[in-house]
Amino acid sequence: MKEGKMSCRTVRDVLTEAALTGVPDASLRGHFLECASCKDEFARLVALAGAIDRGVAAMTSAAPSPGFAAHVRARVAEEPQVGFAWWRGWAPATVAGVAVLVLAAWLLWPNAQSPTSGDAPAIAGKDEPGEPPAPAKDATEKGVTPAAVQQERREVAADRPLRQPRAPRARVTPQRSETPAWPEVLVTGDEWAQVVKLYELSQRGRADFGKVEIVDPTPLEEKAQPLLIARLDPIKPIVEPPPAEPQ
Amino acid sequence: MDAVAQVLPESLVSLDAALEREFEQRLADSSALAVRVAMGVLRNRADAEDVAQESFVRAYRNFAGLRDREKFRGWLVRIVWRLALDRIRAQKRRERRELAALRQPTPPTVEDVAASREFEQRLTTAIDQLPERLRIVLLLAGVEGHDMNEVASLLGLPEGTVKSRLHLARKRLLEVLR
Repeated sequence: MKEGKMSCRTVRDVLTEAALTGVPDASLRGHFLECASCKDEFARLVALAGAIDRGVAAMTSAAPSPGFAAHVRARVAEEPQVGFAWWRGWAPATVAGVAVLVLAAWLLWPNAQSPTSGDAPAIAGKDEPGEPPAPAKDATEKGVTPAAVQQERREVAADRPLRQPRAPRARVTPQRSETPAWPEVLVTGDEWAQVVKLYELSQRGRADFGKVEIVDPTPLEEKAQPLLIARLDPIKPIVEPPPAEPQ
Repeated sequence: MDAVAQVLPESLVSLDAALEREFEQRLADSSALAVRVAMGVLRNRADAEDVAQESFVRAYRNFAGLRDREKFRGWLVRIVWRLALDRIRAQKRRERRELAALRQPTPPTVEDVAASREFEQRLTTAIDQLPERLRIVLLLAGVEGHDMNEVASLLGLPEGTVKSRLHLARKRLLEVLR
């Protein structure tokens, strides 16, 4: 090894880079004038780089056989499902989307939870805030939807103490030994029809009586109406509510 | 694609006739590319043709879902690449099973070692050792007529990235084989 402007060790480090281009820079050329060994090594690397390129090109120079396209057609024809139905690309996404919507609807449906998962039964009215309680007949005709019930939550526990009014109460024989699972509700007389309507909805799977809530803004305590406690297993009340007494 | 049309309901054929014609054109344009890419990985003509054909079958299945069909060649290259690598892996697993069955853990002979040093085998081995991101650029650039711009287009990469990867791949091969 001869001493030049660049040491042979330094040159060896950059020979690979230079061999890839095939053209040594000025400093390398200066070193090659003084070091035949590095010059030979450079020439060998250039030849090797060329051989690599030719080898790679040879690997990828194959042409398809004359029957290539025919073979592809035959294999396509053997596919169990062939054709370009326009919806095929969208089908998986559509199915997934519908599944998500169904799941979301089931989860978000106001009364989707089990009747036994809630607290004690409560009472539902249907009137808008600020409006007086509607007569029972109108309430029955309009119906009480679960969405309306959901609008304003004001849950009232069935065993909530009601200090007033001192209206006459009718106690229904519970018969708990036979049907202990039926809920009991505390309801004013003019809301009885609404309760019945809700019960009917629950029987059709459209309402969950375990989660019925009051939307009537008028607190029960302010209603000077008779209350009724009744089992809800029959649609018709076991005991008809007594007529409301004028205040 | 008449053979396909014969097995399809009439309504479906008429609905997709344009797509069928377009796929037929892609098949004619890209067959050589598919075979060459497969050949670059597999180095066996029969396997390469088989993988290329299978790639077109898969492309056919999903052709309608390809939003930008101008990118068909790049999409096809990726399919071929994946299938070819899968084929290689399966072959290696099979070879390992066969070797294990033979139970001949004898070391290679001197003649074997000498033969393995033939350049082609060394090059093949060295290419196989490259990372995938370098290998596919090297092979695509080796396909006749592919310049950096076309390789970049096929792979969806910036041209500068393709250049640097190709340079790095060649440099590694040179260092391994020197």
